[in-house]
Amino acid sequence: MNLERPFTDRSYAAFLSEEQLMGSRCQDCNQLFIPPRGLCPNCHTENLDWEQACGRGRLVALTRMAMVSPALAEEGYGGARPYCSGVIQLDEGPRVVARIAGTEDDETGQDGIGQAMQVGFEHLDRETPRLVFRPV
Amino acid sequence: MFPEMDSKDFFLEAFADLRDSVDAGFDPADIEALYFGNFTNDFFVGQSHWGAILSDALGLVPAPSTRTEGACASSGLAFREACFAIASGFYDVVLVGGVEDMSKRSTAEVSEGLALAAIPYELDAGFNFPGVFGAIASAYFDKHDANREHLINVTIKSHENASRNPRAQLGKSVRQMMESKARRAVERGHQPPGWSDEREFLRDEKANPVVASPLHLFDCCPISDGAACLLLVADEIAGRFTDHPLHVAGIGQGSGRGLQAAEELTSFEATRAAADEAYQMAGLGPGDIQFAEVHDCFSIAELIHIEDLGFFEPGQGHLATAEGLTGLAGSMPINTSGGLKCKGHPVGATGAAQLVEVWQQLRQQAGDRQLPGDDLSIGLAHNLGGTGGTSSVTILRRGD
Repeated sequence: MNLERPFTDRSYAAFLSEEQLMGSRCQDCNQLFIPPRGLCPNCHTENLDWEQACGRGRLVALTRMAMVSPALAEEGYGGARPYCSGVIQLDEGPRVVARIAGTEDDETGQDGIGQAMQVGFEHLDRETPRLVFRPV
Repeated sequence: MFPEMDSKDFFLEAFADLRDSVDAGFDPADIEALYFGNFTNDFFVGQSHWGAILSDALGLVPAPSTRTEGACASSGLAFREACFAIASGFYDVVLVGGVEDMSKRSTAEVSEGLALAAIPYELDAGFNFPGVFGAIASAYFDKHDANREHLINVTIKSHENASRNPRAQLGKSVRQMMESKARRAVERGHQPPGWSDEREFLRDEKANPVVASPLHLFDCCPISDGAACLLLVADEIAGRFTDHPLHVAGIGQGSGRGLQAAEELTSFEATRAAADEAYQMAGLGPGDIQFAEVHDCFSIAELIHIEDLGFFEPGQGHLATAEGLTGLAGSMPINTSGGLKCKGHPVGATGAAQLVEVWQQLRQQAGDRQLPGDDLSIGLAHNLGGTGGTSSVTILRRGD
């Protein structure tokens, strides 16, 4: 894995397309940032290193959308085929937002809160990786 | 809704209302500068440079005209900049307002345009705005043992207030809407729907379909057109315009992070910072505020805001609302106008429109929704943009 990359959203997306969930850790205050930051918001220093997340966490927020963006509607989502998005609290601490798979039948959007989740990846095309979490 | 009008026309209409509302009148030629909020004209109207257009339409050229952008908090920001302009001593008379022109676009286009205010990571994850607030609601429910019934309380209250506001976009109580739907069904020869009360109506998935769980249609504000404006003048000359001026007691503004980085999912850090600043400037605390307009873009948002603003303890907002404390007759009336949910949410105009409602209440000019009490003297307006990225808080106080 090539770690000689700038701490940018483009690098984050490039790692996702390689199926790696990557962040940056500040070497001064030790906080981990996912997605990565090039400037630590606490220390205001640029002393950060890449770090790979273990990819496990807990679902802390979930919604099941019947009305979706035009791009997702083109993929066939919306109405009878809802799209779920949510927030995962990673075992390492940071939160990430992601598509949530395997919770489409949860009509209230509440049943899954708190459950253990595992990272996955989807690839619409070479340029558009999508971060996905599924129940373990 | 107003196919014959554009942003300029909306603003001129608000300006005409403003002229009628100033007790001693004023000469538009005395306006030294204009600050106004607008969020989506670039996207929806295909025109960004509205400062000069509005300045010209109002006959203010060459007075400077400045547009502020803070997503749905755009005109809250305009008001704060206008306060600084006067407090600095540079100007004495400033026009401040906001405008938005949305309804000529389809719901899908509006949703796409408003998504410009989200955090890119949220869009990548498939979120739209109802989705973001739906996710926030799921976290609130989990943390505070709340449920959809608590959101329904907010919706019923907003519609009840709006039914007393002739300017509300959705000016019917939920009961009125339910009864007229039932009547229409019978007229068409269908079985009368068997809703026994408003709650049952709102629980009906057909009458109130899900948008982004747990949020349903009646949890979401509508797509709106509109404008609002206010005249802001230096203290020393306020007597020229009225014997009953309102004072800006405190202003505050804060920034916040999106779902992935915010301190908490069930609180907006931008609101807390803005409120702290405004309270400190005013020398007041949450307990001194007698009523408030808060940014209820979705029902769940109102519950969070009334906690963030300090009116209720964290986790108590839903219980306070269930007890009726936030209704017109409650101890802390919230969104007497009907809020964004029912008064409407013309995005860039909302912050200014909230201040117009506070102004009307404090001047005892709120008609059927007027709060009682001769001691009504302090009101607050809270404006929020994006997924809590920007917030402004303004406290107005009666001067006499």
